Amino acid sequence: MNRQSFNKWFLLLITFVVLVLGAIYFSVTPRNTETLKTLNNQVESAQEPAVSETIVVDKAGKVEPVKMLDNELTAIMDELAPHQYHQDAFLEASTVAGMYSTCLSEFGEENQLQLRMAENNQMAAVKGHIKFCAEGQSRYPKLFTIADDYMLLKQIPASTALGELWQQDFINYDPLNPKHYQFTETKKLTAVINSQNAMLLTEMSWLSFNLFHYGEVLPVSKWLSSHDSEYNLMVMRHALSKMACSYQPNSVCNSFGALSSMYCYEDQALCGLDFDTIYNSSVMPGMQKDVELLISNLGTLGE
Amino acid sequence: MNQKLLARLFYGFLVFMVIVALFLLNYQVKQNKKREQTGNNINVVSRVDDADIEKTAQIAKQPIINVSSMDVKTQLVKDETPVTASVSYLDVYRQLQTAQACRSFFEFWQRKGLDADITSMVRPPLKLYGDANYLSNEKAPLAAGQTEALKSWVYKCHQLWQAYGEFEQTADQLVLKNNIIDAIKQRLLVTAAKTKKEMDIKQVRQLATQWQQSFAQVKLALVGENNRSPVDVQKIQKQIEQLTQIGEGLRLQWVKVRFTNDAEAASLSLQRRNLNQQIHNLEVELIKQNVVDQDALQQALAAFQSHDLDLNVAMYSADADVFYEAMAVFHGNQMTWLNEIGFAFHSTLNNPASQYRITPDQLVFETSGWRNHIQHRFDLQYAAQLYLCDLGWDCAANSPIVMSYCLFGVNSLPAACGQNLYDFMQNDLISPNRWQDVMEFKNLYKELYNE
Repeated sequence: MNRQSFNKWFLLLITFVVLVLGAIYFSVTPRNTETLKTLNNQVESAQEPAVSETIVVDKAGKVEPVKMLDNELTAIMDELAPHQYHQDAFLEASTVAGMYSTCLSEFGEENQLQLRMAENNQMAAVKGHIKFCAEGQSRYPKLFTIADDYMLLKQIPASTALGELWQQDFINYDPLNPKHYQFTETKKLTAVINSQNAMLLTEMSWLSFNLFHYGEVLPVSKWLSSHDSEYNLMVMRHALSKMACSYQPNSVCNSFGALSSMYCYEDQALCGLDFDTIYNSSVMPGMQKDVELLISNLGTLGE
Repeated sequence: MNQKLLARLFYGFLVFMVIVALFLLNYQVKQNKKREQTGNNINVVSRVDDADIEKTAQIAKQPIINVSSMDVKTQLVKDETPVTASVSYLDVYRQLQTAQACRSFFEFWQRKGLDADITSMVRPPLKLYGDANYLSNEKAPLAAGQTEALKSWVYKCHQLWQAYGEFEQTADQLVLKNNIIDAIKQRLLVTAAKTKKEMDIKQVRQLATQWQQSFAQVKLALVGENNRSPVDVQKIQKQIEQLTQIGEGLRLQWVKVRFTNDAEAASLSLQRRNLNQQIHNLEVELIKQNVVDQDALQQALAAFQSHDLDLNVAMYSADADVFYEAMAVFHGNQMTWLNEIGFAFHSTLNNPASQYRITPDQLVFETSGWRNHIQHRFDLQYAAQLYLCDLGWDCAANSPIVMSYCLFGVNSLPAACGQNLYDFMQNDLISPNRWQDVMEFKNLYKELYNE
């Protein structure tokens, strides 16, 4: 090949390569910022499908939650000091509110627990409960005004990781992300078990349906060899209650404690009894063994 | 330009082009991946698991089960009970039991037609730890045992549907005109009971009817008559209706925001609670003025107590069917699935007449000495069912009670399919530790009713 024909072929090759590269460039890359935006938006919206769903809320019916004033918040924080149950103000308030939950009458009516006790002719228990509530009211007068409103209670700032976790609402199930739910519920349960806080364990026991309602969060059916989720839920409830009583029995497990009082609503004959008596008179031997089995499995979560 | 320089330029250019080509290729691959991801997420937002592909494949493979898809000749499990021939009282009684188990199948066919896919009727299975996740608009594929059970019951139920159904031809299909269960009950009434067992069943069914009627009279007498003026009653009822509508509005709003706006959801929930209390107060107001006619009440109670005594005497029977019939009375119309048999709700709050009856589960529980009846609901239920099995009730793998566990209930329990009731309860449903508690109650059933 002489120099002239080499130059000719060389120029032809360069033209061809430039054309091919140009074609590839035009077919692959977005043509303008609009196309680029559309492409990126598609990706983003696909990654967050739950939020982007159309949710229309009737503005007329919308209710804004009541905000606590700064001075109200300060007064409650002052009232809580010195903390009895937890260093975190929110957890302390939550614990106290739970402890005296049976003193807070729904709808401003008569105290339901006292009514149940009276119906069962347990007048000594009624008197004891009145005294218990009066003591609470006198120690925490300001907290008592908001204790039955969780939305207000949540405005007390949390200062620990557990407090922040606890402030998250319990019903946080996202059907598009069930694994997230499973993860947070397990994390919450583990944190509560590690806290060794009787009131939080009690609350967790009341809310233990969250550990089963959307499917098992933990392999409880495997641990117990039982496919009866109602039963497994009850075993979980008892297990958390037993753990609560093993830590601070006086706060929740005495006759008027939050834990014991719940059983009064289920069976009047249990009103005014402490948790141990209730447990031994209503939980049968086989179930008691399952409760112990579950406690030992839950213990490994906290490690 | 000398040839050497030109050659260097040429090879240099080629290397540059290769680098550019590689860069563009890489860019293209990345964009394709992004597009694929976008497509997946947009089209199938519900794919949430690692095992998505498998799950999708399972959903796709799920066969449709309807009457048309059933090849009657190739059915493995056939109901041998004759349907139309001259049959005994016991045969018709068995048909009634089957028909009662088929109630939801009949309702399904009435609503959707025989060609509709009946797998949609099966309740979602209990979701255990590690099971795949499905959205509310998705359906978990049926377990193999569930498919078999469903086919077998479609066959049985369709036989009765054809034998006892009265149909009307409309433009495009045959529409059922009568109630199949009532038709079989009617046939049972006119069929002569010849053997002792048949006579016992007939007698207990008669007692059950009398018991229900007299219990309804007690309920009625306890409600009393309202001495308010009709205008006042209407006014309160109107208020209740309005508040109920507002409550429904609040509920719908709550449904919309419950996963997205905690504060609003809690606030709506509180408002609804307050509203329900107002409705409750009005309802109390409405019945507060009711006057109970004491004479009428005493009369109703006397009649009821006599029937209640007879029914309780009938329960001291070693015959499973007799015991079942007597026990089912206490459930009234509240039993949705057969697996609920064995625990009757007896809240005196909503039903003050409950204080005048003692159900078998109450008696067993009181005798046991344990407390907190409601907590032992399922122990008592399982004990009663196992006691029925001991008496000879149909607890086989293809029995109505096993079918109700296998396909229905709050959640279906696929582990039940293909096992008899005893094995299913002992192997899967009841924990080994709890088994002793259930046996304690079952033994009390035996002590109280059969010794």
